[in-house]
Amino acid sequence: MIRVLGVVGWASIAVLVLTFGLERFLASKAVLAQRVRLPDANVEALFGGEPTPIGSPQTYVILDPKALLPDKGPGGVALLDDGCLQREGSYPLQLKTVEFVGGIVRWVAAGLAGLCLGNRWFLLRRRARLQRSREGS
Amino acid sequence: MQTTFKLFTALLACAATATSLGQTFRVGKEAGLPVSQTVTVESDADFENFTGITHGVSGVIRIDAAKKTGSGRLEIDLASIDTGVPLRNEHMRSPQWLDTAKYPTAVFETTSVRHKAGDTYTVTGRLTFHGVTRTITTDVEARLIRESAQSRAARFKGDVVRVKGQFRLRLSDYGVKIPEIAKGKVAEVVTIRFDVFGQTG
Repeated sequence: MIRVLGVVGWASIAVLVLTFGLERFLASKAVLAQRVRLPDANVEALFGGEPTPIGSPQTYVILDPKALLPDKGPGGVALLDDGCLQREGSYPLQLKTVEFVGGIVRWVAAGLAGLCLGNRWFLLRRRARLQRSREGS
Repeated sequence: MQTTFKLFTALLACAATATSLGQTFRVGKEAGLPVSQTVTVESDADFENFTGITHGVSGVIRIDAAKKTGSGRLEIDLASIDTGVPLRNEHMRSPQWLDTAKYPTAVFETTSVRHKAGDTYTVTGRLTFHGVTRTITTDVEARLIRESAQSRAARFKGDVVRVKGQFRLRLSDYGVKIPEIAKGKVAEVVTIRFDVFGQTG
C-alpha cells in the first residue's frame, strides 16, 4: 500500500512538471492570429482584396506555420489562411484550451500527489511508531 | 366614384414607380453568383472559441438606391454549418442542439431599413431560428456596384450588392439549451457574422 501510494504520488508530481513544461512549450509557439478567407479573384476585382475574417482573433498554437500569411491584419495581428487550414485538415489548437486543460490537470495532479504522499508519510510514521513500540516491549 | 377611381389609379402609379426604382438582387447558388456567401457563428467559451462556417445562404435583397432603403429575406442552411470538427458538427445538428432535421433553416426577413451614414444601414427584422421568431436590429454595410465591364469581367450579371454585418444571439432566447456536459465549451451568446452577395441579372 505504502509503495503504491509512493508510485502514484511521485507519478503525479512528474505529471505536474511535464504539464507545466508542455504548457510552456506550447505557449512559446502561440501567436495572436485572425483566421481569414482570402477573397477570390472576382470579389477582389470589384470590392478590393480585403480578406473575410472567420471568427475573432485568437491566440493559436502554430506548430506548422504553413497557413500563416505574410501580411498582417489590423493592429499587427497575424493572418491565418482558413483555406490552407481546411486543405491541410488542421484545426489549430488555442492557447486558452491548453491553459484550461493544463489547469485542470495541474489541480488534479497536485491534489493526487498531496493525498498519496501525505498518506504515505502518515503510514510510514505509524509503521515506525509501531516498530519502536514493538522493540520497546 | 370617378374621383375615387382617379385616386386609386394615381396610388397604383406611385406604387409602380416606387417598385421600378427598387432593384431585386438574388442571393445564393441558385442566383448563379460567381462567389460564395459566408455566414459564420462564433462561440467564445472558457474552453475554446470555435467558429462554424456555412456558404449555404439564399434569398433576395431589394434596394431602392434613390430612397436609401430596402428590404430582404435571407435563408441559411443550418445543416451545412461546419465547425471544423466532424463530431462537433454531428452534435450541433442533433435534436439536443439545433435539431436541423426539424428546423433545417434560419430565416431573416427585414421589417425596416434606415440609412445611417455612408454605406451603413440600420436594419430591423424578424429572425426565425429553431422554431422561434424574434426581432433583431443591427447595422449592416451595403455596397452597390453598378454593372460595368469590370463586373462582367468578374462574371457577375447585372448590378452587384455586397452586404456585411454582425449581431449577437442568445441561444436560450431561441429555445436552444446547452446541456450540462457542454457548459464551458459552448457560449450562451454567439456572434453571427455575414458577408453575402447578390446580383440583379
